[in-house]
Amino acid sequence: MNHDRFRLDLAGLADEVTPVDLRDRALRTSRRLGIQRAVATSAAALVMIAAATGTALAIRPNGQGPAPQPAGPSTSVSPPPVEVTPIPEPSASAEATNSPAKPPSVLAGTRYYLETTSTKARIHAVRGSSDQVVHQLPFATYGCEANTFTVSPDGKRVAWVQDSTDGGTSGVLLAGTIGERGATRLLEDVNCLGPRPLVWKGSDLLMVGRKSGQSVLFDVAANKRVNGDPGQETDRCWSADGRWLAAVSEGKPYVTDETQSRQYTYTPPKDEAAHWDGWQVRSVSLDGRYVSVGWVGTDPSRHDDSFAVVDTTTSKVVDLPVQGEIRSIMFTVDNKVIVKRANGITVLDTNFTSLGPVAETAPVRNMWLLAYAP
Amino acid sequence: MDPLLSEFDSFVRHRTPALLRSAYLLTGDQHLAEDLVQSALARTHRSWSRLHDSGNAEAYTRKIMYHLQVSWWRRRRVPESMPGDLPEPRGGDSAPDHAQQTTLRLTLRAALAKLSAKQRAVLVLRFFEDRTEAEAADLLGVTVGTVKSQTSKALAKLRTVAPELAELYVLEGSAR
Repeated sequence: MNHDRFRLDLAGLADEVTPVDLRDRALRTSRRLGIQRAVATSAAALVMIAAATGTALAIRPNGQGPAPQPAGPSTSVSPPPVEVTPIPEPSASAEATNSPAKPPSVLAGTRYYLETTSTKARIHAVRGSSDQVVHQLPFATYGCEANTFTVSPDGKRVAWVQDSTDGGTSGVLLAGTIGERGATRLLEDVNCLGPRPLVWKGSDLLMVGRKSGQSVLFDVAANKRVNGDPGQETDRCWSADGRWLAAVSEGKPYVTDETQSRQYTYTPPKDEAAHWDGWQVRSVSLDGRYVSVGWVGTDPSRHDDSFAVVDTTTSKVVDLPVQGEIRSIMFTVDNKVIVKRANGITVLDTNFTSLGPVAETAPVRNMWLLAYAP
Repeated sequence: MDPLLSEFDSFVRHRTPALLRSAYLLTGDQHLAEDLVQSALARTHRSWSRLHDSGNAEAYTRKIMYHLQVSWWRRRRVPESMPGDLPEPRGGDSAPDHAQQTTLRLTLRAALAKLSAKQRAVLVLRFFEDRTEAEAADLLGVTVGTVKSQTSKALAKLRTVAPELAELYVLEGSAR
């Protein structure tokens, strides 16, 4: 082999990685390691004491925690490995106590974020200064679950693909109610690769791709497939109310509400585009005029980010009144635009005028924003 | 701010991009690379009080990273996207166009994914980080002989799983 050429190609491949700030994530993991070590040390000390005194110790759950699980991996689908915490309801009295000196937030609803680690995916519900983990999926291997875990636009449902044993490329589609235990098994052989393998149409319908390549529109509320041909691809996106669709036909992007259809064009920044495998729509405004666009990676992992807004009536990129790196742009069901930046959120109205900033805590900044429910 | 934490912050911000590049070659995936570097940095943070003035923080972090990758690989499957049929080699073209470069990178990544974690690690250490065999052995905690044999096996496997890459490298090499 020509090793110099090999070195160059390795360097070229390494250039594909996107630099991210891992400082906060590393510190959180470090704290967790410290806690685990402390727990392990305490447990070891307990065993030593028990052995020394000849006392048989029985450690029992206190009645509120989950029952002990048998050792070894579980292959059962129902019930799935879900851990939940009740969603915090906004307290009127608490707001009344805390709010006099504070202006009302421009985002009064709940934002749902996805946090993933190598062994867990968690949904955080963030409202005001409250941040609660409302759904959690532990998994044995990083794969389908982390790549598919999603929240419906109204923040009420969760869905994901539970990894099967065919190499982390497909599995069983499951759906449940956020904050509640249990899930319903909906469909088998569902693809779990790609930048966005599960796509919501409104908050009841979910578009998924079968292993065979066939697309299926599934009514999660009724637990049945929607009749008719949903099209051959999942490279599509609906507005939060499910009315407007952005899709691609014969290489040409368009938006439609089934009464009217409009083609548009978009050419992404050339230099950056060279690092990616194309772009796709990530969010659609309620009137179908604007779409936010994000990159499609050359790897099969999910991308919930977006970086620009395109006006589909003019095919021009909208000049957004925000500074710094944009991480995602989401059109909400209450006609706002949430622009997630590296250091927080800027909320815009439908004319892209700033309504104000919303602070994000350091841990949340590095999570993906999945949904916003007013 | 705690001066130790401030030093650690500075280390993380300066060295993360380089660590991520190696981690990306080891894992073939952005998120797995982030997880890998994050986990290695967390362990570095826990030992920072003895590492910060030793000048060995990066070496320690890389060592942790390579060890974690090998142990993770044993218990996790990494989804890989194969680009379908492998591209035809174009060995005589000394200035391949961008599309061809992209195809080559995809092919190289798919080929690397077929290697074992240890084989991938030795290739990244030897040909991306330009480490000597002794340095690679020290980082991986194996003998120099193991590094030699793993490198040889890894290159042989690359030739097998992606013959067009080997052919391209050989053709260009013979033209030098």
